Amino acid sequence: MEDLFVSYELALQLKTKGFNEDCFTLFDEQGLLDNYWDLDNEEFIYNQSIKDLHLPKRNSETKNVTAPLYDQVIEWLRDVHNIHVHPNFYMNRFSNLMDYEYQVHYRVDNKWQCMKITAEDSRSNAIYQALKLF
Amino acid sequence: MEKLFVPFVIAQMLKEKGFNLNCFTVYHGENDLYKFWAKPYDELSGDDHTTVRNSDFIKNSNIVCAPLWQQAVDWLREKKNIHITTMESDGKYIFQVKHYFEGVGNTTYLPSTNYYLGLRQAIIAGLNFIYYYDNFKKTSS
Repeated sequence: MEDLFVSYELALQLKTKGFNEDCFTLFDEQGLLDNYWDLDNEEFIYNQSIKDLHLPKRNSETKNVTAPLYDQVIEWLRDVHNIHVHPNFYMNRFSNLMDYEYQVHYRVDNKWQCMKITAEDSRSNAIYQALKLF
Repeated sequence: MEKLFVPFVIAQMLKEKGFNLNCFTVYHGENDLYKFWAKPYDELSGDDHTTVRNSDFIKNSNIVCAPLWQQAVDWLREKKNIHITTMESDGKYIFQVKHYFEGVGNTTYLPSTNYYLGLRQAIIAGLNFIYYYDNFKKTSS
């Protein structure tokens, strides 16, 4: 399930950029994801701090950093900053398989601009690039 | 947080087509999203903080795992070679559903003014491709 959440480094940057949506979980001070869903029942029940973490959290309510899902970040960029991050699929002529890149669409002087991110982990990289725009 | 999960009808279709990834929560009947994350000690389940899979509920057809939109889109791409993407222009969205079957590509474009309604249509279109090709395989074999 961890791969559904953005990395700690990205979450830190999002907090500085004002991301403050409800999230399922948090990163601790060491940057580890509080994956409460993997705990066994006994451990869960006796760990009061983890019990509290089960409720949705916002950055404004915690000294830690919330762990957003990728979808939440992409939606936040779209709805709050009018920056659109999405994959673009195409047929790779060499491998004959579907391949994809991420694109970041944003407005400058009322004209749409597009950045194409083809590097490995292109979704995270696209979000990093999007965060540099404001 | 509820809006992050696919609606019941899509969750059901995904289950029918073999979606069996770990999910954070379930639907317990139509329109009854079980809010595990907000109810750590709910009466229905003693271990509700753990993830669940559709295969955990084979005997109870009322319970359907509720994937995130993100999980549904990723699953269609990785397991079914169905690729959903979106473009936005002046508040309107165009969802593109691409898939390849036996070397032949097919693309559907779905316009929408609402992101989640458009995504819902796109996922249903993707699932319809699966239904279509499953039937095609059955009748041609």
